[in-house]
Amino acid sequence: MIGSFAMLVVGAAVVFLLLHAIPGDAAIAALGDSASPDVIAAFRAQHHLNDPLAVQFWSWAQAALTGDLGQSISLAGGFSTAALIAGSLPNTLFVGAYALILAIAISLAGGSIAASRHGRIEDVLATSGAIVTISLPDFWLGYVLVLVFSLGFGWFPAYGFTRPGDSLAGAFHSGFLPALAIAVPMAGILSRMLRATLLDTFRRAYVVSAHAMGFGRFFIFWHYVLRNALIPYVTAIGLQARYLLGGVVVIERVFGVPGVGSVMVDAAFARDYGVVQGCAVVFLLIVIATNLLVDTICRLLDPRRTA
Amino acid sequence: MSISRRHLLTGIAGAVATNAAPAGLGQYAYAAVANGQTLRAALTGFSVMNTLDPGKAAVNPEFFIIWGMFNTLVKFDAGMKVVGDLAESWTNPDPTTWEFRLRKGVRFHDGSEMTADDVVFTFERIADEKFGSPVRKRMATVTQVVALDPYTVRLKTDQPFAPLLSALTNTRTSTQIVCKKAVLAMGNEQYGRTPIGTGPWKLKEWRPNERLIFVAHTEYFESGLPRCGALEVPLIKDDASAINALAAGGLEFVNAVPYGESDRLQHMQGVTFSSVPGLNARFMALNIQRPPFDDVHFRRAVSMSINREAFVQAAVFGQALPSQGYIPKAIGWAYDDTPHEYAQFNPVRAKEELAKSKYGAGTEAVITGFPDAWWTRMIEVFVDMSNNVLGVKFRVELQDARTAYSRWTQNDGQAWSMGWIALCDPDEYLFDCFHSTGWRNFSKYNNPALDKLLEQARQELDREAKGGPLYKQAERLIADDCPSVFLMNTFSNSAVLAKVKGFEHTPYDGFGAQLAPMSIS
Amino acid sequence: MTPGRATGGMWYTFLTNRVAQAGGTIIVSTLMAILLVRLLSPYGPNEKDYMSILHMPSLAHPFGTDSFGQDVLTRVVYGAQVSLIISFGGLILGGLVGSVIGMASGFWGGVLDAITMRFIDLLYSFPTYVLALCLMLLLGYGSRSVSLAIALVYVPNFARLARSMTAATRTENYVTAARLMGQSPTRILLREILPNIAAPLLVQFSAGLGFGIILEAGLSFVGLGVQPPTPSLGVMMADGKDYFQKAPWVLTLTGVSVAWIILGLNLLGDGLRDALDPQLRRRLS
Repeated sequence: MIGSFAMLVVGAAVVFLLLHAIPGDAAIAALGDSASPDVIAAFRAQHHLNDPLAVQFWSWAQAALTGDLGQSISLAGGFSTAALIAGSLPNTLFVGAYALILAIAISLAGGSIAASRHGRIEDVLATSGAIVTISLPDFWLGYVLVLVFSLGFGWFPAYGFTRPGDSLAGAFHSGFLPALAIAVPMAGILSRMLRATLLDTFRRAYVVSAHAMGFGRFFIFWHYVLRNALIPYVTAIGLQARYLLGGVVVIERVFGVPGVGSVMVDAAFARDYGVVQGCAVVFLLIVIATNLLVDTICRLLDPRRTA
Repeated sequence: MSISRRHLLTGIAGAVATNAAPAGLGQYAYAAVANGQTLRAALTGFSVMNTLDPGKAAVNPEFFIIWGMFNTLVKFDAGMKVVGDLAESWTNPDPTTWEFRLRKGVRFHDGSEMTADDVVFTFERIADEKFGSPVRKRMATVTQVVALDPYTVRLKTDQPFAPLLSALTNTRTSTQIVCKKAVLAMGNEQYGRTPIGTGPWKLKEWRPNERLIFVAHTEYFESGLPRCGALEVPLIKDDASAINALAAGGLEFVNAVPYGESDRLQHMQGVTFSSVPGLNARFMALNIQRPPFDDVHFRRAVSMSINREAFVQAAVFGQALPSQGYIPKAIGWAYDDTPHEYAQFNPVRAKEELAKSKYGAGTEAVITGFPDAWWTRMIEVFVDMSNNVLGVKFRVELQDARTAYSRWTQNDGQAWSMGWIALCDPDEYLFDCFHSTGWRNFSKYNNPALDKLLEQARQELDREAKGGPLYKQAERLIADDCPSVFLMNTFSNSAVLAKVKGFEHTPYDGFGAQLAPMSIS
Repeated sequence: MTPGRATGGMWYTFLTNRVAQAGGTIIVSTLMAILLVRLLSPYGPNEKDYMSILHMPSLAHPFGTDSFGQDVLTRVVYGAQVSLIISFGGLILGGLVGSVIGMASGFWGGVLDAITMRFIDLLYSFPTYVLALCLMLLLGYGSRSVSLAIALVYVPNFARLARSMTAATRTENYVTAARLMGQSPTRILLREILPNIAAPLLVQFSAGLGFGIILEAGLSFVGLGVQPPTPSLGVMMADGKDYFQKAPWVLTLTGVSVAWIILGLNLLGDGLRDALDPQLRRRLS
């Protein structure tokens, strides 16, 4: 717990220093080509951009400790960082969860079929399908999906995302293509690893003895094999959390999903350091939380670990 | 009354039609507005806007929105002539005094009436140093603003200032009239997020980085406008995606069509494509303080090595006019179309000038630009052409737009691929950028003859007859020295679904200002 | 087991592995195509022809032309080379730095381990793309920055792997023996531990190579990567995306080429993993 907290503080400081090393500042970003020297000076003074870095970080950290992530100055002036995150994080989480569910569904089916039909045509198909999907750049896949399913068949909107808060059905509909573009390569990774661990478990002593004791194939698969194979599988899913949060920025751009990754990128371009830092802290919190969640699930799956 | 009832009826009919449109964009606003059509107009190429307070606004996307929410004293019509907006008429009792007679019964979004008091407040706010408006310096020439009565305002300037009227139009001027009561009640910062104006569209919700949602201002002073009951503006960074959404029926209007898509959209079923010469200048700004562009012969050589007709075809697929100066064709009275020697493609003369310069073939230079869609093309084609003709070794260096621009303002670098967008007065183009005291004159170009000419033009209240020739002459003086390589004046290309009626294209890409008369049939 | 014998067996398994053969075929045929196109293509990678912009694939231009009238096939070939070099450079750097950090903290453990691994965790929890982007803003755009970004993204992966493997081998007999013989820690790390943990690191390397190309493409795709006119696969896809409706072949064919190369790399990596991991090989046979 203390370690995680220290990580947060150090993380925030590192991000802060990194951002301030970037040339240009919020004044240039907010004022654009209207930025005459006097206006820039006024802007900097108003937002304390001339203060020493240590002072700036300290005032940010003090506020952050009380849960106040500050206000945007050049991304969406006056909006609180918390509001910007609250407006975009649900979209990211929705599309991420959507993609994860699709990826899990595809990989569970693909991985189990491949493992249980080991060496046969189904295995070959699933395995080669998986490795092909891993090799596709996701944003490229995104454009191809738009071309086929939106502009071709007209089944899905070509651009834009309905927030789950506005219409859940709309969110599922408009979020399908981005979720699929994210899910497909991920499903490839997950099904490959599920297949490998399943094959490994099949040969474990307790499974072999269960066979010898005459339990049914399906019973053994469900109770002995899958349960044990799920532990590395869940761990692998946990590792994807980082990607789902911030790695999908390009996909968000292609489909117009207003996610937190896009906010962070726009904020970085606008040199809105407070917002980038706020997002970074939230990212770190979520990654820490995901790790805890994964550990808990693994513990639940494996009774031996509870001790 | 009868108008609004008819409006309501067509609105209901239209709502059924809107309902059938594919989901995604616009679903939400439709659900929220039961009594009218929702116009979905995409703002493309941008995803960030920082404020909707006219006095504070600085970058284009902010103004694009502000134009639909506010009005100014006067405005440009589609032919770039100044006509009344909130002011019905105006007079010059003497060259430094301007009297504006205001419209009566104009209502702000909060229902209060707009009077001379609000106008005075708007200008005093801009002049307040503490407020920090980007146009404070520019408006500093206005020394006094008084309300003679609730519907008459008098502006006094320190000297005759002909460009004043342009600075009062509904363009990138920051002189949009704000609501005094609302500003004082909520404070400047809050007002930037929830502004109250007199314009046809009333802000309902601003979702940063995503979209803005508006409802019609039912008490708008131009009767029958706006024709749609609601407006939704998604911010689409990638303009190719916006065209996809338009083609799939998820949008009614796209303000900036990517140049590469223009010819395809001209022939697309169900889409009306519209193109006018825009209010902009695209050029390579040169650092005249540093080698190699400190040598006028070298600059001329580079300028003459560019075949601007071919350049326009290659860089923007023909969607521009070749240019030889800053002032765009849309400002017809100041636009100079007599060919200037150094702006004409002439490889032989170019090499002669190169021979006269301190630098020869093989000279290296870095051209800084930024990687936004066709901007990269512009710089790549430029480098390709001058390298081929002169045998010089120019190289492209891309940085993010803010870094590149801020380096230009500090004169840090050798050359920059740049453009001015939506500046509406010749004085803004020439005085600000090339007068020795101009604040956009980053490379410190100094030409006393030009300074005199531009100062004289500011005093000339009869702009078309007397100011025009001065600006044309100034452009020729600048072109002699080539402090920038002027390249082109791009078209403003918009696309609107054919079922949308009432679209009138303004040269200044007047996004928000064009939406009120649009209706969906 | 001695490293020498394991390596010999490994190469044999690797070469006879069907997956590796498929991957090898793809990569070798791609390299040959690169060579052929470089020798035979009448076009340069940056040869602009404004009279033949966005032409359909034809005999003269098998992959068509892009928005500058450049031959897409020629550019794909040169771009693949650029992308591969960038990705390779990034992984070498990331692999070296990460492995050194990981091996050191796994070998010595203690406070050093605790602190460095915290940093590594921090780096790891930062989203890949945003991390790369901040680096681009910091260092300026260009191939070198992209390589560095890939390196930075991969440092934690290598460090974690190297650390856990080193920690596991630290107590092995041959390490203890070397220690008793008075060998210096550096020598032990290089001579005894490295050969025994090299295999998984190599697998990680080959898997990363493909992802490096995707990251490069992603960055260049949004205009942050390689500087024009240098072709890279990402730069070309970015161009193709803008004219996707009018000239779908640019984005499609470039994307297919990227997928093809990455597929070859992934298959090779799989074969390598099978060959290097005798236990896994036994299990999966």
